Amino acid sequence: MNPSLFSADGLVGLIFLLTIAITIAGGIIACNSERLVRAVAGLMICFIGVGALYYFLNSPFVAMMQVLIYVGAVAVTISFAIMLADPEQSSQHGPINALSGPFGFITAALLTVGLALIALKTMWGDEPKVNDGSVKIIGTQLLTDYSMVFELVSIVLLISIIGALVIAREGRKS
Amino acid sequence: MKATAIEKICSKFPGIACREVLNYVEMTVQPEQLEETLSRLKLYPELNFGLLLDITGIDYLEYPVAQDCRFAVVYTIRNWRDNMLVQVKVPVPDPDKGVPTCTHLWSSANWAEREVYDQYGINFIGHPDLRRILNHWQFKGHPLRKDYDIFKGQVCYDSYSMENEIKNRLLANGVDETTMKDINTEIMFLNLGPSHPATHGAIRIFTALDGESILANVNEIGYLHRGFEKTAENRTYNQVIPLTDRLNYCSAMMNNIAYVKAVESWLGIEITERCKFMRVVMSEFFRVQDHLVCIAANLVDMGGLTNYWYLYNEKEASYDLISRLTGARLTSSFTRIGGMYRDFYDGWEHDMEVQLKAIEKGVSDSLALVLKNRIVHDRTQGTCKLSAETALSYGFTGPCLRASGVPFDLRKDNPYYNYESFDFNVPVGSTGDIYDRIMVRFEEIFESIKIIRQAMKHIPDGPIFVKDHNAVLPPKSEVYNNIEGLANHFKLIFEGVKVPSGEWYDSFEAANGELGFHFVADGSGKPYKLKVRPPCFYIMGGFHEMVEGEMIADAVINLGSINIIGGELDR
Amino acid sequence: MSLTLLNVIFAVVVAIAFAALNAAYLVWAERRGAGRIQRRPGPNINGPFGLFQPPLDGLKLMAKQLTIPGGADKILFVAAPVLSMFPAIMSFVTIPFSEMIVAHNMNVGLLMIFAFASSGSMALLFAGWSSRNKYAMMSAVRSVSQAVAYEIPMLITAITIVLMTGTMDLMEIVRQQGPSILHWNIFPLLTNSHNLLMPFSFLIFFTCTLAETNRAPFDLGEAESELVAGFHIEYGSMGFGLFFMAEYANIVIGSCLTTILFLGGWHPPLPFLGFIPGVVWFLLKIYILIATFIWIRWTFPRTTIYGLLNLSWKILIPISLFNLLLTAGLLKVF
Repeated sequence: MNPSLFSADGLVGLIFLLTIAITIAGGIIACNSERLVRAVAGLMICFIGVGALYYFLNSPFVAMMQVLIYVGAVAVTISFAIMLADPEQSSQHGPINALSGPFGFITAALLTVGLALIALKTMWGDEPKVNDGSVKIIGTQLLTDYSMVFELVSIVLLISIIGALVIAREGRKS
Repeated sequence: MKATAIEKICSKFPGIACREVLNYVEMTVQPEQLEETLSRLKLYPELNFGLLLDITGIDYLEYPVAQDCRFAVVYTIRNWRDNMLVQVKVPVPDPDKGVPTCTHLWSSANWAEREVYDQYGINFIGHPDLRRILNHWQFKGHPLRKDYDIFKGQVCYDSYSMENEIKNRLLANGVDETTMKDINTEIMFLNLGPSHPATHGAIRIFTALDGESILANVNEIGYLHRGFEKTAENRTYNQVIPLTDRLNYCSAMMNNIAYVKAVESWLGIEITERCKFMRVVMSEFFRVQDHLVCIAANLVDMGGLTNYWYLYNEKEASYDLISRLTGARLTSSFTRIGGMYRDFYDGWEHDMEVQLKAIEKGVSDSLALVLKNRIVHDRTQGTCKLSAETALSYGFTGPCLRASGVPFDLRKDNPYYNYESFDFNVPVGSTGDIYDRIMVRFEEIFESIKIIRQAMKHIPDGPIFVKDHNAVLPPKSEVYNNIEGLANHFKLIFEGVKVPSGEWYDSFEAANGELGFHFVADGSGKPYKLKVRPPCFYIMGGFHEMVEGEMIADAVINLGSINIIGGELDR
Repeated sequence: MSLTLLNVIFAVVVAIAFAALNAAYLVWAERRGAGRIQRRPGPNINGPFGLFQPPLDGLKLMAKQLTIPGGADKILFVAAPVLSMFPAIMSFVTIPFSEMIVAHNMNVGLLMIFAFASSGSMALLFAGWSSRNKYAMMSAVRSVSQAVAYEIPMLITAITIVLMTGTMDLMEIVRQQGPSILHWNIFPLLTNSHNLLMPFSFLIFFTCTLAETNRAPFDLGEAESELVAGFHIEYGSMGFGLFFMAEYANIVIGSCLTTILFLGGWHPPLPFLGFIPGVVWFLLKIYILIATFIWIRWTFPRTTIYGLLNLSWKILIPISLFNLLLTAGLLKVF
């Protein structure tokens, strides 16, 4: 099937490509900008792109959660923290390890290969499993099939909150 | 002041020349006696002179009567409780060496001495922060010295950093390098002004902030300094009146009245009854205007813009009445020495009553918005408090002092113009916070309206000018028809009112507090020296006491609540 | 899939037009309303009742030069005003104006509005930071702490509604509030939980809307008396215009959401009034709420930042949490 560019499907395809471009561009900005605040802005763009990708995958709930949590909460918190620091410092480079380039490259390559292997090996069904993406099904699944994962995640969050509090207290004492 | 009070003061200072001037005591002391005299005045319980009103210098270079020293410094000090006023005059043999400071006795001496140093170049030994205050920091010379040419302008460009001042202030408040590390934050320095919506003029409020709390505050004034005192030395007594309009321009006519009252008191002119009543009516009317402006602006600072219109609409309508009477809206220049420029026009009582009713309605509407408003209470009650002692020490007068609980009002304590026969109350606050300052002003509006109504009821008919052709221009019929009238007119216009030589201080309860004028006359038609004691100069001097430890938003509404008027602050 | 997406794009275009028009004429309404409250005429020169004032103001803003202060972060400085419009416009997509008029109804519509609303504070942060101005920075910090503080009670209240209706679909939430005024969520008697605290929930939600849209008495972000103009102090021209429009677009969104969650959406107050189209009722309700916004702004002075945060953390959040638990319990009982 080869939809014409000006049909509805063609336009949607274009928008899909645009979304991917936005995601990648956001990622590049996040990694390469000199100013931390701009990096956060890039991260935000990247998150929004990822959210849009979820939407394309027929999962509006996850898409909205992506925006709500990552853009609305995580990115705001990060940029808030950065801005409270001196704006002059934020444009300086941190110490760069000579190994960090190759090491990063290897990690990224391994990740890519791993993901690609998984994607290729998975037996994709003929028909995509499309439910209505509503909260009800997600809620039921989380509290039945995936309740172990759900609880583990909450423990991780609890530990990180306690850790943050401990660090904050230390900073105040000194 | 009663004769016993004068004796009481003189008896405490044997060996010091005391003499009675008008109704206060003037003491002349030698520089080495100064410290002792001042601290006795302040600390002796039966003397208790707690309110240092003003310090000024005098340069006798061109004075016709020869003096021992070229310079002198005069301290004007008041005991508000017993209505005693004393002036201590000390000759200064060497201005560079100067005289000892009295900042340890009265906090108001800080800014007052800085002003004397700025204008006359007289040093004050031991002053904590002696630098210029009204003139630019790069200014050269001392403008009120007689050998400073009145036409010699200077152009100064660079702004002053005030870095050392704020650091000293931080240290004084116990914030040093280690505390900064302790509070785990960096101190942010923030300039409010000189051009900022909160300053209502041009004042620079420099703050050191921890988050939004003010750790330290220093202020720079002088942005509206235009050399009022130097200009006045070059004008005849009547020509100074338009200059006084521009002191507190929110209540212009009160300054006119205060000024001519001061001149008349020395000339010994007893103005006519009708003129007295006119002055009472107009000064109370302008007190209402001044308070309307202050409250309206203050509530706008708080974000309540609607109050502004309720109050300002009435002020605007009042200006119509004022312009019908005086021909000008803002700068009325309505008084003359010995009387008023004009009598009331026919039917003014009706206009005034209509206006008073409208003001009462506007003020009541505004009060309905704020009186039981929880947000207003939260923001104003308990913020920027100032105790009565601190307020007195900083030389506060007027509504701001009364808000701190000191019931001092010249209209009651040292009445003039028959104020003793009017029935009115002096509203007093309890804690000296912003709420008290606002509410004292609201109450004073109602009290002033009460006074105006009484005065309108009892105002007698008759002339508004005294018949004294040495002070008052003769009527035009005489000028055109006989030679004496013409000669009088000519002499008064060209030479001005001849005021006998001498020095005196006279004060008036203006809307903002005690507005005083210190004159030195040399017998000519122009004042040899004229020093204004502007109420809000000293109030601004205590600003940091109120705002340190508060939030930046509180500092803004506090500035509104003390009613800083650039015109009289900087002169 | 493909058609719905195109629908969304079309809706975004319509939403931009709607938001811009609303912003323009809400400014007019605000100024006229303020004039009415303050005994002065308000804009009355340009056109009948001053109705040409907003387009002329817009024209003036567009004709001005956008100055970028030296030392500012240019990209973020320009991007921030654009970003500020983004959440409001995206949210319009899922708002059901009536049974028929909705661009794209989603079963997570409520979540979507909150998701985009939460990203709105990024625009303020970027504007405040990139201006390199102390006042702008303070304002950004204030705005974000305010937004974070008020998002919580707002979300909890919204969750209460979700519990009661069992859905996040905005149309479904409205449908359950028919047919008469007694079935609206604000009135507790005929709703399924019979929770008597619902009027308080409505008040909390409305207060949070005021705070989230930075409106008086919670307009600490742009407190003109101390922070001059706050985060948009350095903006002129359409940079300022966009922030201005975003404020009003947010007000419209907030009013829409309040109407949908509590005031029965497009339903008429009484069933026999059903002959009037639903969209009329919907618009009537949101404009009554907007008028209340304006009324409040010109009545109350501004709070302080601590008073504001205390109100949220110490009063609104406990009450709304309690109400959430109560609702859950009552739902089990009935």
